[in-house]
Amino acid sequence: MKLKRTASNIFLVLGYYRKYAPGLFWGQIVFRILISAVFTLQAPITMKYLLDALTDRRPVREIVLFLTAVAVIVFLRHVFACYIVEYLDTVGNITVREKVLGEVHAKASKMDLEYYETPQFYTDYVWAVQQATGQFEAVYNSFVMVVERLAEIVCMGGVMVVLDPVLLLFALAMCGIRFVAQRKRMDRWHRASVEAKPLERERDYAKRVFYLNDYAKEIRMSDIHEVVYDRFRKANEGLHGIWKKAGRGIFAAGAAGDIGVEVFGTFGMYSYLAYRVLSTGSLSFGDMAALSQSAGRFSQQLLGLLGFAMRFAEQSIYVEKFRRFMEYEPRIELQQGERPAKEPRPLVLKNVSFTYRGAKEPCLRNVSMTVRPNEKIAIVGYNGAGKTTLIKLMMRLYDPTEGTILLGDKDIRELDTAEYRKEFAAVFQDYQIFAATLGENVVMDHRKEEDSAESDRIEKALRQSDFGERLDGLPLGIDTPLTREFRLDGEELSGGERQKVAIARAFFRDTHFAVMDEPSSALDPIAEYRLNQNMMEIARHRTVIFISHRLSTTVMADRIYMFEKGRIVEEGNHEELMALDGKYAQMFRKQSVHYQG
Amino acid sequence: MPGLSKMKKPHIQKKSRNRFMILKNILYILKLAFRAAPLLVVAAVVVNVFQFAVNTFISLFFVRYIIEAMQMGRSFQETFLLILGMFAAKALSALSLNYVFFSLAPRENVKITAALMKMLYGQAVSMDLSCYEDPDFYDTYTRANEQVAQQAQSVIENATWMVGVIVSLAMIIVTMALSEPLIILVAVIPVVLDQFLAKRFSEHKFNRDKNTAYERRQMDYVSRIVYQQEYAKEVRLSNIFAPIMDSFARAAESMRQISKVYGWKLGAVRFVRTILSELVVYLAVQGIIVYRYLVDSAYTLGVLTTLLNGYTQFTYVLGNFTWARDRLYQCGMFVENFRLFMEYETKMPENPEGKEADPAKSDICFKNVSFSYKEGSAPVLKDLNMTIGRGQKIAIVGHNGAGKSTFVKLLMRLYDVTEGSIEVGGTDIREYRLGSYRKLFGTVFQDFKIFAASITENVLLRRGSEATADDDRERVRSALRASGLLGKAEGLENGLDSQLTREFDDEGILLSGGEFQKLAIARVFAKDCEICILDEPSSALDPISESEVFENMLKACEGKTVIFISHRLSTTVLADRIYLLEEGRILESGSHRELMDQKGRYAQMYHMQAKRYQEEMAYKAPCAEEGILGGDGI
Repeated sequence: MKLKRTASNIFLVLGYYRKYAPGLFWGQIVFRILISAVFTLQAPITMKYLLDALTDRRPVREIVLFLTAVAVIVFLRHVFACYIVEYLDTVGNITVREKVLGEVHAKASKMDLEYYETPQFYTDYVWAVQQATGQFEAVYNSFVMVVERLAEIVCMGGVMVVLDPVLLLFALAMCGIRFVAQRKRMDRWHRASVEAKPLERERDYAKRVFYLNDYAKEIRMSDIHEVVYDRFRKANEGLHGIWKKAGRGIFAAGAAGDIGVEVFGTFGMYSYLAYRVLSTGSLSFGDMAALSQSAGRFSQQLLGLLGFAMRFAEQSIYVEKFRRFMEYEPRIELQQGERPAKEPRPLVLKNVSFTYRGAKEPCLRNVSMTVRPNEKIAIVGYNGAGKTTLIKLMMRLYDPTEGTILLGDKDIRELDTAEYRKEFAAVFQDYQIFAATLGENVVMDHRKEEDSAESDRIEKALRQSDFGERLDGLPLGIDTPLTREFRLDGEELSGGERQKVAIARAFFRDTHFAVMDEPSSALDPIAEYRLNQNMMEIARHRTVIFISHRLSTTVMADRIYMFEKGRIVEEGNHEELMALDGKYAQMFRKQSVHYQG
Repeated sequence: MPGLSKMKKPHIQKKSRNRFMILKNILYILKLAFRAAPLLVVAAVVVNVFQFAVNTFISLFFVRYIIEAMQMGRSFQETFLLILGMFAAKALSALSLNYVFFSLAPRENVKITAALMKMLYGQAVSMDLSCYEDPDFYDTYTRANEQVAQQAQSVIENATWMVGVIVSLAMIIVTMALSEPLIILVAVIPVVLDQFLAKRFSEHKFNRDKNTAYERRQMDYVSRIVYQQEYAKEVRLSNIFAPIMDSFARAAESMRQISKVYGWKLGAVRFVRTILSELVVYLAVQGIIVYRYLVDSAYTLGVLTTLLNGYTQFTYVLGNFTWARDRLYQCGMFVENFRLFMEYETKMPENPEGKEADPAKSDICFKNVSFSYKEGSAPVLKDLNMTIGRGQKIAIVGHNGAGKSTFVKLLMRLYDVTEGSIEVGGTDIREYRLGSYRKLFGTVFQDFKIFAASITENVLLRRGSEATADDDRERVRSALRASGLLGKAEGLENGLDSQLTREFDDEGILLSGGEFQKLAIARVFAKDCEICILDEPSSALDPISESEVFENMLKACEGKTVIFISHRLSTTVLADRIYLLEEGRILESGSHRELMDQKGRYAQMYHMQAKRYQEEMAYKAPCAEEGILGGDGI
């Protein structure tokens, strides 16, 4: 990546720190430069001073004064260091992390849904962005250390320039060689790591299988762990092979540099010092001691700095991903536009086809249908016929690949997405319960404090979805926290209860459209029966679109669409379709056979 | 889960104060690493010791040597030999470090990782299922175990580095003590004191991390909501994200508050430490040297340089020492969790001396069985009595939460009963060898999983072997045929060897929900099991597949005991006997006919579910005449 881009990425991260943890940011800079620089000079200066002062036999009082002054500086340094490192740094990092994650989450929640379907989504966004936010602290820490080192290098360099500039050249040459050698070595290392990546992924799969609760039962009831373990072993053998092969190259890449460093660093520098003292006698003992110390520190720190340059380049790659994620502009989610009209209007699909991102086959083909206000529409068909996709398109979670969807006479792509979706209340097959209160899980938004009318409506919705009995057993009522994610005393609901809460959402929201995807699959027969009764009542003034495998519920629909492989193959009401004696009739009979006993 | 909480708490409260324990942990992990990669451990020690010895020698004696050479009037040429020797030693050190840490370490680390993971997996497989259902299990152990390989590498690096540091410190101390014994006292006392403070420091840190673990988990939850597809639709169609983000902010705030408290504590400890180890020593050492040189004239100029240089070097190296020790200390804490995990004794051990289960005797008898998931919590099953003869077809029905799934988990001994006993073949199941007992069962779980392996392996759920390859292939084929997936499987490019999931293979096969379920059902068909358990096996299937699978299932399980759990009552008609569970008790039992005649709860449920179909079928009688099963029911 270009140097400029790297720098701009690093500054992006630093910008967050400056904004959200200004005390930490500026405190660190001032502290590192001032105190560290002074402290760095302390060792060689003390060394030189003491050696020279003692050789010259200067008065004890002067020496004591000198030592005390140094001690005061050291003391002050520690006071600041402890406060910054342990307090400011920890708290500041938490805040920055919170803010960054907050921005990322807000952004992610507005990503178009289609991205979630692609396998790259996880690696391109989720993984990368999570890595990137983790890197923020690392970037900042590197930055702080760079500031500190820079201050040290300038000071040490200053000492050397004053005492003997030639030695500075030795130190610089040594750093140059080490830098090149290290880079070569890391290049080879990096190449091997890239090669090792897929195998590491294979190795990690075993980790998941053995730890995740989801797999625990099957692992215990079968010998599948042998298969997983075989794969794990093979992956390890492969990894060992890769590193063995790469090892020699990595060693060779760095070896020449290692020797070069010693030629300049050890041999050159010490010879030069010895020569100046012994042959020319142009160096005092104090100077020599201070020089040999600072030359060592100087090159150590300078090399460290070069290491940081490499580290920044690496960190920048992650930050780049973060940046691209934040620059992503959703097409559907943030669309502004006209609000849909107040009065109920028909929903019209005209020749709609849809193909998922990355899929070869279309999922819906040339579907046309009209849903008039207050109609009850049933969508039936086998697994994979495209039923769920259809309702997702209706709610504009995706845009059709071809064809148009109209609300009244308006193309829904011209409407404000958020406002348009307010027309719908949906219960999905894979509905989720969120870590929020029961009430919030019904409203699916903030609860208005002390809005008793709203509370009544929530309760009513829960009773309509047959959750009433359970609700009465909860001491906190609709304020009961659900799930254990945020609250250890959170209530865990059973599968059927969860579904009832999900259904209550549709009862609560007084929308034109109610969309139900297999609303009763987790319910037992009695609950299902009651639900159907309630639904009929609720649905009187609403348009209902429901998907069902169980054909018993379709009997009450005004119109049934039978889907097969993404197309509508039959349509009509129950009587019509039974009379037609096609696929629907066949499916219905097959299902009801067992109830004839 | 009393066992787990017992193993969880002590290491925070008592054991971490025990430095001995930390040392033991480090030796424990070093021993394991040594066993897996002896060469690496030995080589790392050697190169580190060599590195430190060379560097320390040069820094202690070079300046002194030059000064003395000058005083004795030696020439530059005479010192040249020493410099050459220094160069050779440093070059050798650099090359050997390069080799060991860049060339040898990566491949040896693979071995260490493999060895540690192997141990872990072996233990994880025999861990009680209840541990998995405890969220603390994840917090404490999963994280520790995930990092153990990294920690082991870190231990090797730091421990061998530490050996070098100690050699270096010893060289410095001995050299200085030979010239000025007093210095040792001044330098050593703070170092000793600091060891106590360092432990304090690490403890505070560890406790802070532990106390914020819950907040961190909460924050992770929010990430999950945002990134996982299951949540995506609802997040977009509602404003539920707003209250979730509020919780996120609260978690962050709570984390900040906890960290602030620890921030002051840590800052204070750090301050005392640095003042003790740097400032006090600084003043004392310099003072002694200056005093002794000026007032007592105790040593030569050469010795003076060694002392002053030695002191500076001592602080540098001591910094290294502290750093490595803190790192090791943290590793030791992590390893503690790993060790406790490895030493955890499962409540349901394999029991190698146990009886072998006899497939011919597989009649099941529940005797007064009660069960609750946690001690003291409400029982899920209450005083259950039931006898299932060999080869019977049993249906367990009931509302959600009636205890159906728990019933089968107990039967498979994934949990042990709280009260009463389960007998199979007349023997308490706790007396069997666990592995052989579980072999009796073939199960389709409600939340079955597909593994990233071939179709064949996913059906067999074990390793295939060369010797039985043909037999296995035929077995898989007939199992898939029975579950209705053979056509699809054989139509794939690689047939039954096709890899499932995209985990490893970008071309891996993705099956639909219904197809996955058929695959899971095929597992039961492929296993020579005596008792087939089907936990809601048809929930993801459409009606036609469902009835096909059911008919096949009964055909394939001829002579075997079949227990199926369902809330779709249409399937229960086929059962020999039906048990209706309610609130953990058997409310009704009998055949479909008997229960219908009884006109109880079962009949009520059945009628309700069947009502619509029957009305419809009576009304549409003509259609039924040509119906698939002859329409004799009308």
